[in-house]
Amino acid sequence: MKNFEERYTAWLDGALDERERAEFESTLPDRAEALRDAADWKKLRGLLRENLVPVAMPHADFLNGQVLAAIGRETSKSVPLAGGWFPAGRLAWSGVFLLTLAAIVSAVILPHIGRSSDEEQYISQVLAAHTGDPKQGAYAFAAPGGKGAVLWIQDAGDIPADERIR
Amino acid sequence: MKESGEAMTTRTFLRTIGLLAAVFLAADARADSIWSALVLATNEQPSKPAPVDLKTFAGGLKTVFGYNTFYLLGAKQKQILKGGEVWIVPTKKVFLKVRCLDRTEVDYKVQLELYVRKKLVVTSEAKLARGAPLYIRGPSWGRGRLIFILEVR
Repeated sequence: MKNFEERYTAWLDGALDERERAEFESTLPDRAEALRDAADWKKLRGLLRENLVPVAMPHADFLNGQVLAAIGRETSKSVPLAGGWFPAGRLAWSGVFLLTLAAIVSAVILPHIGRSSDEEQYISQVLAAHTGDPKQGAYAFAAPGGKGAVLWIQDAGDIPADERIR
Repeated sequence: MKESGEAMTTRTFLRTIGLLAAVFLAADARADSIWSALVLATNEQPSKPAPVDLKTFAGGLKTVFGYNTFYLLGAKQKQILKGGEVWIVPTKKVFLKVRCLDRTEVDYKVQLELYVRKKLVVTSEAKLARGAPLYIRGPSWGRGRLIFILEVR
């Protein structure tokens, strides 16, 4: 069952048969006013059909070409990288780069950091000394300059000059 | 038959990892060397200039031991690793054994044993720092004195 709007539109367009048209018009509260509205609608529709004709676009092919080219450029810009932001290959090479950097830093740079200042504090020293014979004395003291050390063995033995030591 | 791009990338990646591992191992295995010398110190008139290798030690040797002339009887430089044992300038009469007990960032802790005519004369423990020599007064030889010098380089 069509509602009122559908039957009214069909009535305006003259799409109802005789029986339907008579039945619909009998339901109108003011048939004369409705007929005037229908006449106005037909007049307006005629004017629209006469004046709303398609406007021919000058150089339509050139314009279409420009539009398609612009669409192509925008599409290529917005295509996402394969694999997203963190593909496995990129992560792997980033890791290799960081490892290389760490290796260079640990092998080349770190050993030299602070060496010049710390080396001044590096000293050699004798921690303990024991002689095989209690009569022999062994002493330790700092060498001139303070960095080196001396292990002084009081009596380490004598080798005659005529004996070869090598 | 051409390799696929993926296979080549994998091979390059593995080679790079191998290279990095070699760099790390090389950095870890790097060790200082211990330079050792056996010196004969004498008093002569006139005194003779010190050998080139002893130039930097001549002043200290004169001050400590009181000799004015020094002869370099032997010298060598060997890499020293923890647990390693080195015979320093072995001769027929005098032996100095150096064993590395421990190693820190700044020095080596070593055990020293000095043998004269195969007899153990002294046992010592010492810390050797880079560029700080250890002088050991050894036995006399003729009119001079044998001196060991140890230095980490």
